Amino acid sequence: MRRAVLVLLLLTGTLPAQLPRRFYAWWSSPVVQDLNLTAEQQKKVRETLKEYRPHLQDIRTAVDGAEQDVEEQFNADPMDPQRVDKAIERLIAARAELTRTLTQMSLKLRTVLTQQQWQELQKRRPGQEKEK
Amino acid sequence: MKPQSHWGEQEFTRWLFGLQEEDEHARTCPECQAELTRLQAVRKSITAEPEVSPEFLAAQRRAIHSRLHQPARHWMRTRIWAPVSAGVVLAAIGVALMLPKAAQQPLVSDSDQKFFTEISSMEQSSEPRAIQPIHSMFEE
Repeated sequence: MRRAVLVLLLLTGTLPAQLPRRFYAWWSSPVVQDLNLTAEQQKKVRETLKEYRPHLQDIRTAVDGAEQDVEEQFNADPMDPQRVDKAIERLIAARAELTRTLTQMSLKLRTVLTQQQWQELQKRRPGQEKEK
Repeated sequence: MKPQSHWGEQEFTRWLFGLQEEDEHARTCPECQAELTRLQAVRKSITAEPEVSPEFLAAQRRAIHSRLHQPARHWMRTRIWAPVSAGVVLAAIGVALMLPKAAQQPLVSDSDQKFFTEISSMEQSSEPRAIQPIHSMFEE
């Protein structure tokens, strides 16, 4: 049990550091107006989101399920360490898949943008000032 | 009293415009008669109608007649197309003015926006729900 908690605490401390900078849905924020996307770029953005949405829906279901599973194991009495470990591994895998898919989608969206638009987007990323 | 000397410029001018008739001197004086003849010739050359041949006039009438039966010339077509072109230009300006509004429309649907915001929130949550009570033990 201690090991499971330790793993989860480590997970919360290290995972965000390993991820790319915070993902955010820039295409549905007012920032997109300033990028002056062409009609062709807008089309590609929509197509990319449409392409990834079904898989992301599956991942969301998997993460929610894994979160619930871990909660149930935490609430179990008595605890089964093996089942707890399994639930944690499932959650880690689901979250990793979420990060992987979002990063791949973001990369594809990045290729739609010009270098100038990309720089503009980075400048306008929420919390950018705080991070500097 | 009849003037016996040669006519001066004033007499010739008055005669030229019909305000004075030839007197005895002008009729008999060869020099004044010569001047009168010269002035008469000059007036005739100025006031005479230009010579236009009947052939020239006939050709001109034929040209006018044939042009009456020709289709509208270029300037006529311009008169017709000018308002049409102006309409097209105005329509294009209208469309151009509407384009920025179209660009301001959301890039994604409300449904997509809600979904990706939720995914974004899920990705950003750094800790599993199950450990939040324990994690809070370390918070001040």
